[in-house]
Amino acid sequence: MSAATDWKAQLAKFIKIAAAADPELEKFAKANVAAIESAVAGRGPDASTAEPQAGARMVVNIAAVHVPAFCEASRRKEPKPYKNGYDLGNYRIGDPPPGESLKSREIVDRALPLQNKQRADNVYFGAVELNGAGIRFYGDVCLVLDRDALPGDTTVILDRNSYDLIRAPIREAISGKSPELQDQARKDEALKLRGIWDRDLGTMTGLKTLQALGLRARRYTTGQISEAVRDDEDYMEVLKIDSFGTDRLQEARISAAEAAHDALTGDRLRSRCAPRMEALIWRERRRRAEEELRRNRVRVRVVTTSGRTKD
Amino acid sequence: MPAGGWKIDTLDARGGFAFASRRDRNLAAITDEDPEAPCRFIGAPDFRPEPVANYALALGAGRGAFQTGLFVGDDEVSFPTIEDVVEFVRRAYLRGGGGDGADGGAGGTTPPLRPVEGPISGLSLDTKEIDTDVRGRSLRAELLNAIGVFNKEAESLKLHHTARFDDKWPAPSPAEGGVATTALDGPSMLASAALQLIYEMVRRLPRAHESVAVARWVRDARMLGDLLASLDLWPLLWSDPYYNALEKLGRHLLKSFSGSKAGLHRYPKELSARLAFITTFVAGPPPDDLDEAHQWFDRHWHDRWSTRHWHDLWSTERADSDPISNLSRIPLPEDLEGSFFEKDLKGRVSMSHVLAAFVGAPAEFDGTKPIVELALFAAACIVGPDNGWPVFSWSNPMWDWKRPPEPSQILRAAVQANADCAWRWLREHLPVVVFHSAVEKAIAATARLRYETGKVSHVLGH
Repeated sequence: MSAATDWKAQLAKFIKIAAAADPELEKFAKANVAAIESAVAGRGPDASTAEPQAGARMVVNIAAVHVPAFCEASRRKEPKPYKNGYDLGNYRIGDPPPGESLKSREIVDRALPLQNKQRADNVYFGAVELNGAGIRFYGDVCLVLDRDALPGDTTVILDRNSYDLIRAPIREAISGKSPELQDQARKDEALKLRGIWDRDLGTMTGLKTLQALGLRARRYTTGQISEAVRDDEDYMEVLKIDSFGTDRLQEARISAAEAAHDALTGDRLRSRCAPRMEALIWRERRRRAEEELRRNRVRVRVVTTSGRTKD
Repeated sequence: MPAGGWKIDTLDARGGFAFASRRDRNLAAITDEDPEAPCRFIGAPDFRPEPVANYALALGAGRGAFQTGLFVGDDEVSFPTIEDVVEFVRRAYLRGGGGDGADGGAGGTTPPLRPVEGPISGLSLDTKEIDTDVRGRSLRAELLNAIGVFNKEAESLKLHHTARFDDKWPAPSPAEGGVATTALDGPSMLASAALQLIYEMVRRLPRAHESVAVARWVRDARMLGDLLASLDLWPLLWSDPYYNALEKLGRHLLKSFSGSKAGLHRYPKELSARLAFITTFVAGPPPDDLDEAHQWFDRHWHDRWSTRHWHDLWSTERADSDPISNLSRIPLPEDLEGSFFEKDLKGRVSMSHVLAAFVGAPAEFDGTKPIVELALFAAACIVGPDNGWPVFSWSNPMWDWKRPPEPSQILRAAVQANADCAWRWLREHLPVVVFHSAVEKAIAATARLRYETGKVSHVLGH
């Protein structure tokens, strides 16, 4: 059985190898790591305390059409306003998959390195985000959780999507084992991806950023750090225990690109060039989503660039 | 099943997001030894397939509001091309719009609700149609026929197969003006739809003591009135054979406002009914402001032959500039609701729902003439006249109550042009391909999806 990753040691090892004995690169790497850890913690340069609205957060992306129901459930104080795949058991068109469940999710969920014998159906998956608008593939509205919404000392984070456990190259490390050992091998691999929010987030994001941007004799900008922490579809996963409502949100974000699409639709209407119905529905649903979020006192922001937001 | 077809990995049908990959194996049987498959992300509102490098992203979507796979019975549905997947996701997204608002967040953009105690008095719509002679050039008939053909093709297809259909919808008229149109029944279709909507709106007139509800209702009625004006439909509606129905409605409104609009009885009977109609659907003081109502009626009575004062009444810029928001406030006639829309939307189905449902899954409305007309009307509200202005400065038909006016050829041509523009736009959104009937049913089912806790399909201990 393998041990959990020592992220500080992992980071030091990476810098040492990547710097290739160049002291200049090593010094800049360490300074950049310090800047990354400050940014993730929400501290300004040389500041010792965090700003309340700044820093890395758990985010989830959701289609605008679901936001009103999420807000309504929050207002009603329902136990699970935000829902995971288990909660949404009937949310499907067509027939249910044959058999009890799909093997891939079962395999991954069995391997999740959860604390205190938590059950997979009570896990709400999110991504670590620093200033951006989250994983756009999963929805156009990015819900940003409050810093306090997560117990930092127990919340598990993974340094990548947990489904990487059944994709190359991690799966090759598992498939070589005999079938009766594969479950344990997968748990061992999952343990290597695991960290704890308070203890490991700064170091894990430091490592991810250095891996993405490479070592250089220059200081990283906040925008560069933000982009590297959640780079397109490459994200760090958060395994939040229990659902949440709008009262646990810091804000909601929409991307500048999609806000521009809304504006273009409006412009086409004004110029008597009727937009397509899909664009009109899209814009209307986003308008309603914003209306509902604001009704629940959630601020909606447009993210114009990584690390920079604008109301 | 065709080898190498595209299959849906994960799908949020209402949200308009999907991941699909080209693979031979079924998702249910996928194992961690499977090779990486070419994977695409498809997302609203453009639905442009984007390559996805890591398949884990597609599978991970199932952590939230994405279903995993698309199945008919035990078969995972396979699409011949990625374009077919795009079409499926796009149509499901549209059809899903026909269920919006049921699971929260309807806000202010819903139709006025039906009075709890029912309509103030029974109203029935029984009107002949104009344009019975369309010399075989009927969009209504051609469209209903095409929907029937669409359904037959869906029934005859094998699962996993598709058939192109985009060239089987009635041909659009040429976009340029001055060219003979393909169909001639545009005015009839739009007028018939308008009349249905006016009737439903009047049925929803709240009791006079419900001030908040009346205020909301008057705003919505005037918004509908503005839309009808912008489409040049009022003069058509005040002509034979529709004017009788409107006068009947006017008399009904007069009765409803009998306390506050008593001043109307000073005018000839037919005119007072029309004035009640104007003050409801066009302009005027609030129904309970008696003094202002008298002054307003007198002023317009004396100035009735001047076209200048009509500018006070008409402005196509008054209404909400978002056509979907406007359509969301116009109720679908009650008798059409139950067959096509979910019970949790009862009383709240709007023209926005109708339009989304129709373009997403027109096959559901096979043989339903009123829905076809209403869909065209809704499209006309979005497209509008090509420069935004009606041709008619509406005065004479309202005041000349002694004989039903005959709409001019120019007016009818203008309304037909509106219908042509609407049909061009509507046709652009109709299905490009037909799927097997079970897949078509899956598309239709999108409108029933709700973001709510359901049966847990399978829970793992840990």
